[in-house]
Amino acid sequence: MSMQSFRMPEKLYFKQGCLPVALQELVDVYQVQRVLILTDEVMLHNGRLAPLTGALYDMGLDYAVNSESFAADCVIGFGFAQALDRAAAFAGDKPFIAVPVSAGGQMSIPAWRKADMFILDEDVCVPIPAGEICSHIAQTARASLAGANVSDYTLALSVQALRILFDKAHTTSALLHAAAMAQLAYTTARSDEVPTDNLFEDAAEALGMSVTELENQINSAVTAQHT
Amino acid sequence: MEILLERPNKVIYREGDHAVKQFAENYSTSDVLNEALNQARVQETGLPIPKLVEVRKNGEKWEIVMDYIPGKTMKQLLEEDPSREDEILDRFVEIQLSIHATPAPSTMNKLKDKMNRKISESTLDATTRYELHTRLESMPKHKKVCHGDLGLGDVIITPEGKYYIIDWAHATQGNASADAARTFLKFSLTYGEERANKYLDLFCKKSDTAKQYVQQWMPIVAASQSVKGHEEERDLLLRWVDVFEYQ
Amino acid sequence: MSEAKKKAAASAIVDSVESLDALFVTVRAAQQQYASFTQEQVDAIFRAAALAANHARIPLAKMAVEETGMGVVEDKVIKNNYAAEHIYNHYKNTKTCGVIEEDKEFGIMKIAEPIGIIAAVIPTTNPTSTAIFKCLMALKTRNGIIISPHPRAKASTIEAARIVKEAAEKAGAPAGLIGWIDVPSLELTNTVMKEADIILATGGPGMVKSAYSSGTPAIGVGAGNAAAVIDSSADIVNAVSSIILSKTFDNGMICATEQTIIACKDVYDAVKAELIKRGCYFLNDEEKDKLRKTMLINGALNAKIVGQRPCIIAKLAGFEVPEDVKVIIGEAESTGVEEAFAHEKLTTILGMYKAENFEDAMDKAEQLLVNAGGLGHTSSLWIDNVKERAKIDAFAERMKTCRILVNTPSSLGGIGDLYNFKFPPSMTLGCGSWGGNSVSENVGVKHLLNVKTVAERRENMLWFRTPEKVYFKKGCLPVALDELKNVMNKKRCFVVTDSFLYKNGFTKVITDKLTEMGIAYTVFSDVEPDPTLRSAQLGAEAMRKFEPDCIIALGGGSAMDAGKIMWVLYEHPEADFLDMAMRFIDIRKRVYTFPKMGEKAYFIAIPTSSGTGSEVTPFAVITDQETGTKYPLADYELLPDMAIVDTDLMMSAPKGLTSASGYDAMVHALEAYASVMATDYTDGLAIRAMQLIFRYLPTAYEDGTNVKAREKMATASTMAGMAFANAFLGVCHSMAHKLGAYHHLPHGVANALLLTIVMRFNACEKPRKMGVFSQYQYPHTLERYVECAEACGVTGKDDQEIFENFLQKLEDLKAAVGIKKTIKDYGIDEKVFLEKLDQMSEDAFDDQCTGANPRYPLISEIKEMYLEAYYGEKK
Repeated sequence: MSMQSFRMPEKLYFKQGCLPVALQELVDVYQVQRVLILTDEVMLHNGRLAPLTGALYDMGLDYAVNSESFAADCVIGFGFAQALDRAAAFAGDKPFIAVPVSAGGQMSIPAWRKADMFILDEDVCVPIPAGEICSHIAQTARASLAGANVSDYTLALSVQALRILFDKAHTTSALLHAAAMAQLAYTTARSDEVPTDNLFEDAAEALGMSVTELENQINSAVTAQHT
Repeated sequence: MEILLERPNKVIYREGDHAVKQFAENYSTSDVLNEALNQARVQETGLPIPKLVEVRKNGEKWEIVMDYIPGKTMKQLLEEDPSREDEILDRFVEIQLSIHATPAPSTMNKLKDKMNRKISESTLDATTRYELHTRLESMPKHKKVCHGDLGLGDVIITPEGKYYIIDWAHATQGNASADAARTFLKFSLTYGEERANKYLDLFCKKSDTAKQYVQQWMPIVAASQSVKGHEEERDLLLRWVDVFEYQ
Repeated sequence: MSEAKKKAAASAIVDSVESLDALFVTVRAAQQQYASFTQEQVDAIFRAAALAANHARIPLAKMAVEETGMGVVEDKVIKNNYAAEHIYNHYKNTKTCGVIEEDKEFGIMKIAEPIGIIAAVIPTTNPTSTAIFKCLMALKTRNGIIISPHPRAKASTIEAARIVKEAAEKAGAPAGLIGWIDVPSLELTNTVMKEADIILATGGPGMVKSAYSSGTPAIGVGAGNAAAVIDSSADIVNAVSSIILSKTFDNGMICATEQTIIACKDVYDAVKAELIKRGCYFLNDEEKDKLRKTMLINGALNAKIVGQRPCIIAKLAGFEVPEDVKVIIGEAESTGVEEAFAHEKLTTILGMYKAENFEDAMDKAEQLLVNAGGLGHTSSLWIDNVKERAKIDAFAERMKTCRILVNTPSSLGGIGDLYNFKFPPSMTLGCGSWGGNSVSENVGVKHLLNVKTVAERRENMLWFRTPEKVYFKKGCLPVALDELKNVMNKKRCFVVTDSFLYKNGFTKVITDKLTEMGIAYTVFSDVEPDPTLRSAQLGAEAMRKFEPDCIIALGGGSAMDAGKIMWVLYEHPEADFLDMAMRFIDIRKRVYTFPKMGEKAYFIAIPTSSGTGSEVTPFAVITDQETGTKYPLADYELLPDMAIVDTDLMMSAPKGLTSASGYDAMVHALEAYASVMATDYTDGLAIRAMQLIFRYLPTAYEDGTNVKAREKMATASTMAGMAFANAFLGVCHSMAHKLGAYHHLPHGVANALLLTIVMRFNACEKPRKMGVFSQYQYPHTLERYVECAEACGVTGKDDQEIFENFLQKLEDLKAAVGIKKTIKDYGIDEKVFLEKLDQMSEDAFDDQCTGANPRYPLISEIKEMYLEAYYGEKK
């Protein structure tokens, strides 16, 4: 193969409480006025939309939720994978901002591929049991080590994700980023083609363990969900 | 006895080279000694004043003995030749300014303290005294020699043309503007508005002082003067004192 | 204090310093209790007190007029009503107790606490209304208050205070919260000012000055001398009646009231006629002179005319006016201090001036303030506020007063809330520094509170940004360029590179492909090793002529940096270079906003060495050839849109370049990992880069034809670039920059000579100074280096040993790729080195990279490190 790529959303912003700070760019950089929020049905009733709508209101922007006929000049996908998928598809040429609420849950590959800005703010994330997040990281990382487009770039991210996962002292915050990195790696590494490369050995070496050890650790993380 | 000046409770007479100021029998001892002390203090500054010679008792009467200064007071000169008014006023102001230019010895009584005392002693109503005390409190404290009662009659010009300043009973250290206000009041009472304003304009021009600064002292010096209780002055003084602070 | 004494104190008359001191004890005790009351309790008391004061408005007004002999009962009734009702209404929902503001997202909370005891000086002109106002304000803010009345109005002042006190106590306030001086004297006023915690001084200039000189925080007021300017476009009927209403209110005793009218020439006669029609009297010359003599005594206001009606004033002056005349008007010409009609009058007299035009009217209004007092207080303008906005703006800009009222009666307008509802109601109007005050607005509750702000540590938002597309692999260059035609439809491409690369055919691959795709191009190859501003400007000039929609920068760091600068100059010729190069502490909070890039051209960076990482960083360094100063530019707008890392371009790199640039990449990775701004994303990339460099650099050095080694090195360099593009670098690079500038060592070599020394410096567990960045909590660089070491296969029995072994591994790598041990080894003369050392150390300290270093270095410490790097051992 003569060419590989590493692709990233233009901006990845993260930190607890960063949502309103990152959204400030809507005014300062993107200079939009009307925002369409696409979100899951359940978000409309559990009050989780409030920090987002509150921030938009404070900035003096017009917004609508789930109303596709609204003439927006920017789209924000807020919620679980389904909502993000939909938002990514709908955005077209307009600036598209992805705000996942369960970085430790299912990911939205379209969102990772299309977003201009990705915001990871644990304050807006729904609480998920740590076991579930760990399991998800393990699965994603393993999958991202094999793919048509795996490379040292994706390896670096997957290995770091695993490193955090295996570190007993990891915080929820760190797990969030581990999940994001695993997803980022996965998004680039996988393609529709049949996997041609497998960096599992390299990963084991990078982590300073044998291949078997790595297999075991990943498996136990995957099954930990059920404890 | 050659009598030079006679007042209700003082007589000044000549005794050879000396002039003797004799006080009435019941005159306050401390006032007499205060006047002598003042004169001694001012003398030490080098200003041209009659030198203090002696303080003595003559029977039941206190006397202050000082050098005799031959010549005429500026008041007399003006009366003799009213056409010389401008020249005389000019020189008068110059002399007053030279007094103000003299730094006071630190032991001299303070003008502010004296004014506060006088306001308290006056028969003005409580409200007016309150206002005056407040006004006085906010005035800046300076340390210039202030004559305290300077008029044309307090400056003697000798035949040689030299000048001497007399009557230092009311001297203090304080604000030159207060001293000017005192003189302005004296001129108003003695000569009337026109000459008083002429004096004030001259003073302000030569000392580069804004008239408002001198005017601020006027209610205060009026209150102080009212303590003397001269009936004929009452109306003017009461008018001067009854002013309103913006609030 | 004993019960007996307390009782005595409670009923004692305050007429001496002793009794005042006793009063202070009582008020303080009450206030300390009151300070812990809830917002609910306080608001109930506030309400009860306001109601009671309002209820007593008529008897209090009568008392005030009778006692002072000034003013109008009916108007004072309105004043009392205002002080109770409007004040209550405006503040009833204001939070003044405990937490008054909270923002959980940003981690900030504001808590309001009372100040303590207020000393309130009350004037004669508005005795009961001011007393009510200040007492209510004290109640709302949980403060105690001691009133110092003016002797002229003491009975009515105290009565007003008593009514408020009794109502408050009945509603639950602690007994003794409100007190007053019964027999005012200067001594007692001074005492209360000294012993209180804050002073609200409403009085004459002497009083205000005493307040400010007392040593207690004070809020004073100033004199007013409002001129009502009537413009040609004004509604004259409205203006005149409003001015009369305002002026006659309480016989002109509100300080904000009009003192003069300045009417423009063309409406002057109409204004005069209307004034006469509505009941004003214009004085003739004789009457004016008589009044002048009466109004001012030695420049001060005659107390007898204050707050009096015109017929009384006239009599005092020696002439007569009919009983029903509302205002006496004296026409004047001079605005100087000599003119009595120019001053504040506090009574029913107005001065009136004729102005040539609006400009002249403003001049006159200004002169009045300067010559006759009133600076900082109020000015008034009557004008068509739709058509003449420019004049209103000019007036507002000119007038040095804290209240500028348009089409409003100024006495009732200045106190607020009656004619404009965003103006807080108050009886204490600050005049700013122009009036010698510390406050320039209407005084309200906020001035009587201490507000505490609780700020929780919040970490800055972080980011991870790289070019949207990074293409890599041996031979990928032409494939990657496909997009230019097939996806982006580009037509004209500008290629930037250095002359060596151009002459040796490196650009051929690109230009052939562009030709194949039918894209026009031109090549600029005048880039020097340290790109200068001049060559960048030449390049930009060429770009402007060529008008490309796409730029390709091919080369080492210099070509790519030069390309980035040319891109900026091309897209934004108006941008100020020096502003862009300004040093910053936090890249997101910069003074300068970088202009948006990419509006004209798409930028592609292609490295030919492994490397600077410049193809994925937002940095560019340019040298000013005149002064030799290096300007580092940094902004994410400079991130290339695409990076193409084609191993083919690296294959012929000579040994020296391979080792220097390879080691540079290692330092990038290590500094990014140790940086205070490191994140998990950058960590992952940095560690992988380190692993790859250890494994493949020696091979790439020994055998430049080994494709795998070259490819891995290229990847490592780009990944290290991504890491430090987001986490930044540290003091090793700062020092390397200057070492290179002063002694002409290649950048990678300079870094290599300093690396392990800097690492030891950073690893200290008890650094003299820690790096400053919210997310960096405590020094733990040793731990971090150990993480790197372990990932690179280094072992040891404890952290310290692992670290030392790691340093040794790095030294071994240097040796393996032909890098010498010390600066001296490179032939730098000792004398020259020592001569320039101090300046070099200072410059290194000032380099932009120093800020991200985990240990904040002192200049002396930098110097020591340089010396160690020179001699090879600590000296």
